[in-house]
Amino acid sequence: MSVNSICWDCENAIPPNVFICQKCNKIQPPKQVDEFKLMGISETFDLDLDELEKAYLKLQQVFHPDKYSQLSDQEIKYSTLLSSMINEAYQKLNSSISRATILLKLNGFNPHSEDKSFNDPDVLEEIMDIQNEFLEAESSEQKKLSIQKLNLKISETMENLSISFKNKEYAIANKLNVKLSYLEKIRIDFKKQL
Amino acid sequence: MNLIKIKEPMSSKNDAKICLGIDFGTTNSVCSVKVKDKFQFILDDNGKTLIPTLILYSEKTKKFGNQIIKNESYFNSIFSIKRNFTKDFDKKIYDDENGAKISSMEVSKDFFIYLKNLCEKNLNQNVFDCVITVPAYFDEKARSGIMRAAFMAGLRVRRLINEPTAAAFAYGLEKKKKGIFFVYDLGGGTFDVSLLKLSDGIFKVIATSGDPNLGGDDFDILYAKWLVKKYFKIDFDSLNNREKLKLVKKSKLIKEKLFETQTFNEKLKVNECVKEIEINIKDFNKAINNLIDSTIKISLELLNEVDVEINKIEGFVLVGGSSRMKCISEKIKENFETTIFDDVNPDLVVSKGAALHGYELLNGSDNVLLDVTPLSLGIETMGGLMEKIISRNTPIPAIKEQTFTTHENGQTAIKFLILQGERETSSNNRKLGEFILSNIQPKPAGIPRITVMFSLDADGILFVTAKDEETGIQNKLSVKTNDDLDLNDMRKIVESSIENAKDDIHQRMVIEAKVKAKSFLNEIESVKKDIELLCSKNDINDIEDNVNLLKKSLETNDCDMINQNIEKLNKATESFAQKRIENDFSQVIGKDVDKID
Repeated sequence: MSVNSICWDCENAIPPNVFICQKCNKIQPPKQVDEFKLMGISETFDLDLDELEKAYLKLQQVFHPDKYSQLSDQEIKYSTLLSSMINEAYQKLNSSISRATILLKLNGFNPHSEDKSFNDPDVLEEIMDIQNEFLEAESSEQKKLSIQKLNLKISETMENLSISFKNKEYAIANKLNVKLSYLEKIRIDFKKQL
Repeated sequence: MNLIKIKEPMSSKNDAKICLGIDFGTTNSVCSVKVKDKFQFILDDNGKTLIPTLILYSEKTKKFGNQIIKNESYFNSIFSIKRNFTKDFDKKIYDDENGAKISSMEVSKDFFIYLKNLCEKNLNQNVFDCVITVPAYFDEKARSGIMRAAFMAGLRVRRLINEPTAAAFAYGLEKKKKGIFFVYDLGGGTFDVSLLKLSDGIFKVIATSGDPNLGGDDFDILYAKWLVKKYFKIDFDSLNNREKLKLVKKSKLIKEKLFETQTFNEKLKVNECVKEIEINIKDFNKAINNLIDSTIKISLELLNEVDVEINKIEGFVLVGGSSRMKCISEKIKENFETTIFDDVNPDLVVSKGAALHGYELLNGSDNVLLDVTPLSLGIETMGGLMEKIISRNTPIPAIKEQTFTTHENGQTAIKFLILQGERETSSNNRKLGEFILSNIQPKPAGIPRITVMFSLDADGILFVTAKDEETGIQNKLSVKTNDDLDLNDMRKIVESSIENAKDDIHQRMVIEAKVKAKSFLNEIESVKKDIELLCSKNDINDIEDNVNLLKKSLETNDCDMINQNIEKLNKATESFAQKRIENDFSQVIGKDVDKID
């Protein structure tokens, strides 16, 4: 879908992933573009989060509404819209779970067909075990130990998820991502109870 | 995204634009400005930078700040007006110099006018642009209330920024610091904590928290309670309001003296009984201990929430007048293994940050300030629960959409209740406003698709739109109280009033007339259907002509003409207003009014 758009002001052609007119320097309205392209980073699960942050900050240095406060209402509006889009894309890519969801979608896999994996008995049992261990832990030392175990499980799942993306095994990736989101929920729960 | 480096249209230093930085504090306010590369604080007529946020209305005169001497009149002055912004700030609870009842917002407007005049005197020119700081934990209503008060004072608010963010901005620029910093901002009425990451020219807020009703004022109350109990054996709550107020103000004066001297003697008068008592810092610390502990708790919770280890943080930056108290840095050291940076003036740094940011907004810069929203925003759903649409600590600006549907067959309208807060049930969160989307096509329950869009701009001000996907019918809501105008409309009115304004007073009269006219026009617009239904063709034409006349006069800055046209439109709609009352009445009774005996 590499169709050019037209600058609202000088009618110059604007390439798909560009939001500033090269001719008149005017900011352009938002367009449908995936999060990776918006950020200008390569489409991979194994993102360097520091690189992501750098790309994000660089974009905000250009598109944040503070840079347009002196310009027309229209330009302020576009910068608010674009800046919001950039904020959201950054947050989504910064989390492994939503990043995996985006990648699945981009590869034509509908993450909503995930229901089956809820019934995956192995995953359910694994999760139950972790929860029980934490609930039965008597000292805070023991609780911390079970959180450590959970963290290990999270990084293990992340590694497997990364491998399945590399092998383009999206059905497996989807299952792992569901598991990961469960583990992450439990982790937040545990932290609150500490 | 392919980035194309754009050059900022930098104006030459000589015609650099001026933008005030206003820290409107609970106890003290500070204004500052950067003019041609030189930063300066605004001084009042006594040569002071710290301007007490006090207003005194007495017969035919108004006094502000240091004009109010700390004697009997000090005890009659309005203080801590900012605290009312988290409550009902439109309630008319004060008497002005003419004895008319006015609201907290109008009192604040007068104070903003005083500050504006001081700045103009210092700079020897008219100034309209400003950046105003607000507590990071202020909710939507409080933010828009402050903005409205400043607009009515004739100030063009270029940005609202959070106080801890402003402080970190000034601190980071001045000391050229990098890394993650924890800003602990304890003011006269509010407590904020913000975690920020500073890198080259970028000031990014990671998360923020606080308590909008915890500050120096609360210490004064607790200490006053402790004093009367200890030395007079009286329960503070049994005293009358005037006596309470006097004691709290006295307690504040004693607290301020304690910043300099650890012990001294002081005469205290309660119910006509005077005692000389020994004031001691230890007693004071004991009296307020619980409140200090709750600031520590909020700080710990924030760090826990964001998953940032304490050893990753460069240190704590202390901001706000109340952070001067020794017991605070001691408590922080007890609870956190960290460095405390107290190499800034905690009273002045917030205003400085606002002024520096204001300068950059108007004159261009490579620096960027990225902030977050302090409280979650959402709407009420079935069963009185709050459905979050934007969660707290989301970077702003933020635009989020969610689709809702009907729950009854044939339902043609949906009421949206907008909420802010962290609790599950809607009754425990702050109500921001409500609106109704009507004329939905009648369909079985669950079929209509209503998209609700929350748009939070860079000032942290919320705009909500609901749209029926099928009919395209839209309804908009901006958070406001009563029938006030949309903030964007108010901003435009202020902007237009600046052109050709003869003087400040004239400018404010123009603003007032335009606000009144615009509200009236909005009201007419909202009853347009009823007018067509109830009025004769002649009346409809007459109203329409007068609406157009008023609209036309809004393009000018002629406030006499605007007011005259308001009056004309008022006359033209008189018979409609009458018919509407009769109509409402007859609907209730179910009969024609003429037939009622």
